[in-house]
Amino acid sequence: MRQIVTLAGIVWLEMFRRKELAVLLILLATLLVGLLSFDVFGLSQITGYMKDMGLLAVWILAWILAINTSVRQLPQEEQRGTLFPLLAKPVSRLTLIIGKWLGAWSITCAALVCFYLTVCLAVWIKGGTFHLTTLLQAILLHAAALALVTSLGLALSTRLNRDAATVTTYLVTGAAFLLLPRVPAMLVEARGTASYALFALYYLFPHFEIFDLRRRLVHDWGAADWLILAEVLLYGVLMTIVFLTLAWLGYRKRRFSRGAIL
Amino acid sequence: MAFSLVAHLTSSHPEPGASSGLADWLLGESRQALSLNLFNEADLYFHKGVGHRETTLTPPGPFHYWNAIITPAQHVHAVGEASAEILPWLKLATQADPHNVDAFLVASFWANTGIHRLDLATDILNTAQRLNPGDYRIVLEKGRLSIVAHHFDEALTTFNSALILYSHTPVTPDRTRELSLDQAEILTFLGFLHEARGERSEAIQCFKTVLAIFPERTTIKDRVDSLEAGQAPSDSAQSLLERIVRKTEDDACQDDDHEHEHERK
Repeated sequence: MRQIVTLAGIVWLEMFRRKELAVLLILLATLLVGLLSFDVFGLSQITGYMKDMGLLAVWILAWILAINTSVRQLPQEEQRGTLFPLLAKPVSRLTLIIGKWLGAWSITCAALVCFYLTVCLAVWIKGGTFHLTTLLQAILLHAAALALVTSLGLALSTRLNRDAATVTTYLVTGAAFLLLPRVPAMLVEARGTASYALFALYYLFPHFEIFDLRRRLVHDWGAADWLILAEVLLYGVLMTIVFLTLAWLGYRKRRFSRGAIL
Repeated sequence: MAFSLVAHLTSSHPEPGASSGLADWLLGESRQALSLNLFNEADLYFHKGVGHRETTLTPPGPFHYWNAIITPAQHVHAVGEASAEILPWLKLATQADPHNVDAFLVASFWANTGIHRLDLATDILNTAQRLNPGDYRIVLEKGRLSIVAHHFDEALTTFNSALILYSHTPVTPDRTRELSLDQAEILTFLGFLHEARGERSEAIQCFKTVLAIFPERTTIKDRVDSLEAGQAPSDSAQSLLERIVRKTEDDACQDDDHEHEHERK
């Protein structure tokens, strides 16, 4: 456990050095300042559009951060050659996978909280608020979705190089987020092979849409049922474990040759 | 001839709102698509984030059930002050495409009906008219607002202007029905306004033109018969005018083509 926490700590240190989080926060703040200055026919206290666009930006920025942080962890260690002393500690490959994932996920979650706080501040300046329980639920589910994204990114990076893993993770998660909610409607028209393919996609790809509470937050629908929330969280945990297991399976027997890497 | 041509060309100005620098350069013709998308977003806000219902085939498993709980799908409307949340999207739609007259009209409707700001509704229509001076629909809406404000003389002038602009509107096959309905509406308003002023012959003329377009409108036919017989109709012209312009949030929904049950949150 101590080794896992130490590995996660290294990810945090590296993130502070790279200043990625600061750049993303500045981007978010710029967008929010632009939205704050938007004049809606001289009316004040209209905050729905700010919540909507702000939360969309949070989802996009957290998605970018989660993928970029997770997919570079293992290829970076290999490329720098720091993987060899690390594995010689001795640190098991499973510990390495879990430590790297924990670091990537926890730093993304910390960034997520900063993003949400920034949006809350902007909405508050405009004269609006979020429903507190729903906001808490939204952050919880969002963090679970990011656990999935980071574990998938890490799993892909065990067998692909950094660039390929990045692109594939963006494609898989993007398609899952945009396409899977449309599958029930597409199945009405689909016949034969197309319908089987859609069913396969529906069950194989991770479902990110069930982690998205933005509609409840923006349109004040109130908090979701806690029991359902727990079920969705459990699904997130299980899928994360599945991807981490895949990552471990892809990494445990992998041979590294110092000469080939360096 | 050359002189008159030069004079004509140099005196003609580009249509206001036709070009707005950076937005035009960046988006080009896609501004219309963007504007339509933002307009649809306003509709989504009216239904509190719930989109139009689709036919779906639900695959077995928990995902659809979870999604239904996590993402609300009940049909409700944003009413009262909450309907103001629609306005930013409509403003963005008009900024993306200043010729999206529907967006201006809907914004004006919500300013008047949703948040009861007649002044704001009029301002929106004035902006729309400045950017689209030849569109009769804006003037027709201004006429309606004049009736809401009980400015009946102003309404008469406005509807006459709308009729003149209407006569210059090119008829395209896809808009034939819409144009006929609008022409009948303008003439009906004019008929009632003339009747309220005691100008019976003008009122009868307007109503008869409406009947020439839609002969099946028996209410108008009965009214013409009453006026020609010199009788006072049971409903006064002014009360009918006020009833016609009294639109609610639900009327906006009934204008849509989707089917649903009405429920308020």
